[in-house]
Amino acid sequence: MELDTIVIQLLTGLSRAAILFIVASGLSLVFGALRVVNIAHGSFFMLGAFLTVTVTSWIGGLAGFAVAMLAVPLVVAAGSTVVEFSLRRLYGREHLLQLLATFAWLLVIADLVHWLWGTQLRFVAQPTLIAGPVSIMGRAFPKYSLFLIGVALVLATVLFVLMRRTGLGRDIRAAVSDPEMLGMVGVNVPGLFTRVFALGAGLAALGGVLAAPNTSVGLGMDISIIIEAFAVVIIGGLGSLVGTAIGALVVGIVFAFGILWVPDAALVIVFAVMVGVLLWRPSGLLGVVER
Amino acid sequence: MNPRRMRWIVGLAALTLLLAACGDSDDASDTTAEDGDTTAAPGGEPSGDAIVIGMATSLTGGAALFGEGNRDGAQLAVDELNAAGGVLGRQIELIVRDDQADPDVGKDQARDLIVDQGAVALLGPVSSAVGLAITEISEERQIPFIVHTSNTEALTVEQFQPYLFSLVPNTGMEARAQAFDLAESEYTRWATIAPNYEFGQRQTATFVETVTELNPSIEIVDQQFPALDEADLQPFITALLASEPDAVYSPLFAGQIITFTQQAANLGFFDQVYFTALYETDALQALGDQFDLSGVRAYSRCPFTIDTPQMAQFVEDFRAAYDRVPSDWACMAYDSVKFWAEVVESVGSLDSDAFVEAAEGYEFTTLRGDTYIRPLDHQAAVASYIGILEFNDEYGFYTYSDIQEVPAEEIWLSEADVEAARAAAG
Repeated sequence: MELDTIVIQLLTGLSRAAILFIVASGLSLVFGALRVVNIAHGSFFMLGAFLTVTVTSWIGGLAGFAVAMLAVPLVVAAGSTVVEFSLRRLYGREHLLQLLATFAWLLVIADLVHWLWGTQLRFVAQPTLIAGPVSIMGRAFPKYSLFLIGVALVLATVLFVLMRRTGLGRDIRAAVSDPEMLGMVGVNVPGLFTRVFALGAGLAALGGVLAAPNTSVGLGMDISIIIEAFAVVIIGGLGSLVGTAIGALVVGIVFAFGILWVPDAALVIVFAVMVGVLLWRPSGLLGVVER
Repeated sequence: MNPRRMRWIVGLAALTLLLAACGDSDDASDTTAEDGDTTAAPGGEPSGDAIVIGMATSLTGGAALFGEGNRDGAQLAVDELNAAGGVLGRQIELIVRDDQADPDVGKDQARDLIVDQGAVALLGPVSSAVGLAITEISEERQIPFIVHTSNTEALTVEQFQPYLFSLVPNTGMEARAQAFDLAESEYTRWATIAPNYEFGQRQTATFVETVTELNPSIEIVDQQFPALDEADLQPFITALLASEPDAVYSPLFAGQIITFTQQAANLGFFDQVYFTALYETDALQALGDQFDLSGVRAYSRCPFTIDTPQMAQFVEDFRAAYDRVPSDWACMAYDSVKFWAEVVESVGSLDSDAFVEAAEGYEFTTLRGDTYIRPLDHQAAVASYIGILEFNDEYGFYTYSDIQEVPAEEIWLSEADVEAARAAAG
């Protein structure tokens, strides 16, 4: 196998990991702090993508895409507070109830998207600045994929600083280890949960914005992303950002090389890695231990 | 967003809140697409007297676009029939159900349409897996089932049952049409990429088998099968390119062919590889003028640019009714309703066995031209269409120019092969 092929496949795996990290980090945060397994997380991703279709149809070019990157996650984050409110009575209850409730939201949001945007397949053009190929070792590679990798790196840094250097991050980390104690020391835990849920939803929506110009936007995006996002957080460990980053890299890169070398078994290998990690460390590579 | 929609959203949200607050989320699964129960028949007043025909197709999820084409095409045919006095002097009512692209759901819907709604014929679905499920119900209840979108060759060969009729070129016909046309091309290093389920596997297998048999110097250098819901095809495309094919054959469709086109263009794929794919109307419409697809070889089942007077009239009527051009899926569903109505009229009753007897060998005219039903496998002699993409200023997207029609007789399994395959399957 030639070196250029390996480099291209690696970069392709990294760009896949980029989207996965952005989406899965939100899922992981919400689980870590709220202990809610949110099946509707992929729905925020899909909403993000469809809203990008609308925003970029109003404002063209790079400006429209930049507006979508900033505004869409905020809008979805704000809207997600309704979902969070509906889940409040289920915190601390068994996961099955939460699964059912968030599954209900998945169906509701899928219908909402169907009804607002219809079934027509949508296409979002890549902004000229980041469209088209660039030459890497004599091979064409999409500029957009490099852009995705860049955004994920910036976002990972921002999230890391947020978690380690801000009051909100401190509270989230405290909630991950013991929400009751956090309430006793005077932190408004329900308010914190709302903010964490909104942050998670916003991250999923940002993933949707970024994925939109690199795929076809259509119904069903919600389901396809949620399965892989769960694989990522299960490998990395629910509740751990660094774990999620590792999980995304593993899933993205293993998948890319799986397709290159054993095409029939690529997906199986990804899930075999997941099962292997679960057997070895049931709470994921860096996960918090279930209380 | 208008205020009415806003109110709806708030209402929906409140409803779900209520459900969740009661701590009883079991009802949640009932929120799936209510419009799966579309019973509207704008052409005529549905009455107890109406003849009911049922359709189970995908109205939610990734295949919903195709299901809507099915529904709208069939409804247009029903409206035309009703306006002309109905069938056997009675109005027709079309009941459409959402099969959620799930074989079990499709089975339930088919049974319900027949038993509870009194459907005398079934249409649908999109997914070949669902088609194989519904054909069992059709056999069990002895109700004619006309497929127009799902097209696995198993329906007419191994899993054949006498109440099944196919008005769509099946996977075998479609793949052989491509293989015959491409075997003599200058390209010898071929790769394939197809969705990983019944349709994609079956079509690719037939293509590979036929093309390598016709031209032994053809080598298959790579085969990729992304999952049907895979939204990122880039790793597959880079892997294809790594095997350095001259040409790539692809029955990817809908969202996946759009994603493929987008990502492949950025990887310089089209500069290096001869590409031939199932570019159907919906995908071409979504791609608009974004990429230079001039000269790309494409194939499809019922492109709306087929040059027949029937098609021209249909396109005009469909645009008037729905304000868009008809997809392949709308065309074939329309043909199916018209076929059913014609046979019923010729029989003079709704008896299923009489329908089957009359339909075998029945000659009729479709939007695609004249055809007939082959008695052995109930496959209509419909062609597979190959075209060269050319930008169409009138529509604002690429359409098929220079359409080549590969007649059914050249591409379907011979009667001997059908019987041999059935015998082999037991």
